[in-house]
Amino acid sequence: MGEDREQQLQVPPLRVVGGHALSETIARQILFLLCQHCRIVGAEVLRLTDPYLLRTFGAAKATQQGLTYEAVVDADSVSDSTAADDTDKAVAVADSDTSEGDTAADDDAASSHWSVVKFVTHDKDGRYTPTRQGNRSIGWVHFSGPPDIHSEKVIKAAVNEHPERGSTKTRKVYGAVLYDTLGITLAKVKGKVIAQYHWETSDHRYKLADTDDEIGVITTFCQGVSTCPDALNRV
Amino acid sequence: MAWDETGLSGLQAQLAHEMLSRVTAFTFGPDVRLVRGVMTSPDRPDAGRVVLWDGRHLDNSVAYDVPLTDPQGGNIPAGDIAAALRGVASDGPEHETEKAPRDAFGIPVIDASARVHAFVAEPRFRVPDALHAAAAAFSLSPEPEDPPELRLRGFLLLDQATCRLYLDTPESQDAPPFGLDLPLQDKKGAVTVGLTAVHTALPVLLLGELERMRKDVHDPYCHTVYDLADWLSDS
Repeated sequence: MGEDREQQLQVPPLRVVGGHALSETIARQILFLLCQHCRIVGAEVLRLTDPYLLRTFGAAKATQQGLTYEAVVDADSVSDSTAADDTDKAVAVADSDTSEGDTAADDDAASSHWSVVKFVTHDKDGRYTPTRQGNRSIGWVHFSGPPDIHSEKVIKAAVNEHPERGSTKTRKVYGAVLYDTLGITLAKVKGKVIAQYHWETSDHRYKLADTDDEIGVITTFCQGVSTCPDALNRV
Repeated sequence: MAWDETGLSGLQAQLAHEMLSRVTAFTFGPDVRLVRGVMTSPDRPDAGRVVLWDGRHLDNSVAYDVPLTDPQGGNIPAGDIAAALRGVASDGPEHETEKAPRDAFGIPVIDASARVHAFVAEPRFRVPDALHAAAAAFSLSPEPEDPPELRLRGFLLLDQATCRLYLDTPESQDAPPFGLDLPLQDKKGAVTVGLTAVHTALPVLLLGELERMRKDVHDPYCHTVYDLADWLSDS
C-alpha cells in the first residue's frame, strides 16, 4: 500500500474513476483506511500524488489527529487547469486551520467515527488489539471517563498480558492488578479490559468492512467496585 | 408427548425471538405499514430496497432505497435503518409517491438515502426501538467458534426508561431465568438504542461481578434480578 519513508507514507497514483455513483464513497473510504494505516505504522504525513486526486475527493482531506494531508500534482501529467486550480486550493486548505462548511463537517465526522483507531496494543500472544474512538456504546468514548478505566497507559498495560478467564475465540478479557498508593495505605484494584477479537461486535451492531480486522477494546471496569479509583487513571 | 423443563425453556426462547419482530411494526395512528419485501437495489449495491404496504392492498406498496453504510463507510445497524425508515414512511410528502419512478413490478421507488443519513446523524429513536435492540442482541446465535453462553427467555418493558430481560445459561435451562434490568434512556432522557458493551461483558460479569448488582425486588418471572443501570451510568 505505498511506501513508508520515515514518518511519511508515500502513495503514488491513487485514482477512483469519477462519475461512478460510488466514486466519492469509495474515495472517502480509501482515504479513511489510509489514515488508519498511518496511525498503525506511525506515519505522520500521508502524501498522495495524483493529478486527478482532488476531483475525486472533492474537498475531502484527512484530518486525523497528528496527520497532515498534502496533495501534490505531477506537472508532466497535468493538462487540466481545473485540477491545477484545485491543487492550489487543496494545499491552501491543508495549510490553513479553516475549512469550508461541508468539508469541515465531513472531516469532523470522519475523524470522530467510531471505527477510527486511537491506539494499538498487542497482547502476550501477539494479538493485534486496537482501541477505537468508539461512541457512547463501545470503545474509547464509551469508557474514557468515570467510573471506568480511562488511562491509555493502564489499558495498554492490561492488554499487554495473556487473555484471562472469560475469554473465548472472539472475546478476550485482560486484567491488570494496580495499586493505589495513599501514603502507607495500599488498595489493590483489579482492572478488566474486554475486547472483541472479531470483525463485528457480539450483538452484530458494529461491523468492519475488512473481516480480517478486529473491533478491539469494547469496555473496561474495575472488579468489586462501581467506580474505578481516580488514582488508577493517574498511573 | 411430555416436555421436560429444558425443552419447554427452548420453546419459550423461540417464542421470545418470534415476538421481537412485532415490537416495532410500522404504525401511524390507524395506518399500518408492514414489510412486503426486502431486496437489493438493482442500481446501487450499497443500498437495500424495503417495500412497505398496508397488508391488504398491493397497490398501496411503496419501495424505499435505504443506504447500508453511513457517509464514512461504516455499517448502519439494521435496526437503526428500520427506525429511520419509519420516519421516512410517515413524514414523506403526499405527492412523493405519485412522482416516483416505478420498478419492474410497478412499485414506486423512493430514494431515502439522505433522510436515513440524517437520522443516523441525529437519531430519534422510540422506546420500542430500544427494547427491541436490547432483547434482540441476546436472541442471536453465538459465533460458530464460541460456546453458547446467554439465551433470551423473555423480556418486559418495565417503564419508559427501563426494560427487564429474562436470561438463562446452558447450565440453567431447566430452571427459572434471571432478570436483568437495563436502561433505555441516557441521563438526558433521550432514548438510546444498543447495549453492545453489556452484551459483550455480561458473560464476564456473570463470573462473580454480577452479585453486587443484585436488586432487592421480587419478580415471579425470574429467580433473581440484577440491575445494570449504575454499571452503565456514564454511558
